[in-house]
Amino acid sequence: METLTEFGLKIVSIFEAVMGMDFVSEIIPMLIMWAIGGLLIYLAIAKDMEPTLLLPMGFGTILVNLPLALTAGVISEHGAIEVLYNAGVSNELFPLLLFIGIGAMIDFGPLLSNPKLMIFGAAAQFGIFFTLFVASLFFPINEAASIAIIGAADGPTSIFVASELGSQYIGAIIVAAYSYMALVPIVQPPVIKLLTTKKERRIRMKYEGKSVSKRTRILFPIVVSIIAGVVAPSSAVLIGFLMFGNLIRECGVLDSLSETAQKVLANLITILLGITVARNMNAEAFLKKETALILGLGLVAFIVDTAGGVLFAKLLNLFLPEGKKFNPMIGAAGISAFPMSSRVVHKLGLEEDNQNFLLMHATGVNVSGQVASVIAGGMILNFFGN
Amino acid sequence: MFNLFNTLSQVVTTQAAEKAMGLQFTTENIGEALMCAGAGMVGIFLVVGVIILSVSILNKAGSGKKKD
Repeated sequence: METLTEFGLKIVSIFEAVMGMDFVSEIIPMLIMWAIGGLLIYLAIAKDMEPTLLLPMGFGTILVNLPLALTAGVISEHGAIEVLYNAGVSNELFPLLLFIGIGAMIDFGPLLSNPKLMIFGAAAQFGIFFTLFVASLFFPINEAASIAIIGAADGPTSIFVASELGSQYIGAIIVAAYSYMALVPIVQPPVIKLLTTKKERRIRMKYEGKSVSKRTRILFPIVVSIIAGVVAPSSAVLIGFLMFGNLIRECGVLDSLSETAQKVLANLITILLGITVARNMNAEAFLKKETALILGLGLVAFIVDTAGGVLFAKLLNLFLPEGKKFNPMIGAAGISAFPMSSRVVHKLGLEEDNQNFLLMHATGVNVSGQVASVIAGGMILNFFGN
Repeated sequence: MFNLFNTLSQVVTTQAAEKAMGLQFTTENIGEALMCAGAGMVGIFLVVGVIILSVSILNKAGSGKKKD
């Protein structure tokens, strides 16, 4: 036994000598971060969980946690990742450019044909503000606000707001935001089932499929940008870039730009964003008890978002006559995670009644959640930004 | 008496939370957080309400025009 212990100590001392690092305080945390990086890569590839971001982040996590001698060239002052971070994340450029791509991808048609559904997008942001309250019990208010924005269920908004507020936990916030977005099909159904009766889940909603004029489609991004800019000035830049992307899509004369924004721009920024945000995934910043709490608070935000949308629909139903009632499940699609949340609601509807097609309603609510979450991000910046 | 109980319960709760999670527990930001939460939700409903109204007007104005 003693020989085994001595052998172990010898191995440790060899590690320490070769790497020039202390085993307990430096090598073990480094190995843990490699394991976390590996886990993110595994989840991205094997489980198809937000692979576009989790894979670059996982690899970046390994990269920034290489032993000091190597890391010096990666995250040192003039290292590649630090340069990219300063060029695109700390000044919020990457998330904004990504918003152009997202705006170009979104078809607001289902929302425009039934605008009143947008109210559920607003209700489903409740998780952000509930989490703000809970997080404020453990963190300074600016950090609590950065953590709360995980509930926006929108990666670029989380990155933008957390960067703008100078959060030291941005790595954990981004991991939580993207992980829970990928876990929407697991997180939402139990919450929805808990808050609704079988009868409510079977409510059918007529879809009238009104067509939307091209003029409305073109004016929508312009009008929304103006309204958001006037009422919530801090959301102007976020909404503005999202709507700019959508205007490129809908104008009908910039098809090649729209295609570039949807594919090339979005892909390019995603590659750089993923590996760059990993800069905050070094062991010292990430391996803290606060990280576990942030992951927990992120889950709370998603659950309360879902509950907010469902309960709001149930509240409205109290005042609506039979035949006009909403299926409360569509409220859950008000979280931004697009298009997973609308698919989850549609699938749950079909489980209860195989002739109940909620997809178009849920999609309308889901895209409105995208807009509302960005407005919520703007609200947070209005309150806590510089 | 009530204040004493209040203070005592606050200390006990705070210590329990700190012990359980090893985290600093503070209630000093609650007021600000609650106020911002309320104002934030009102703000979102306000902005969304204006957008709904605007889209409805756009739809009305666009009806009868060429559809895509």
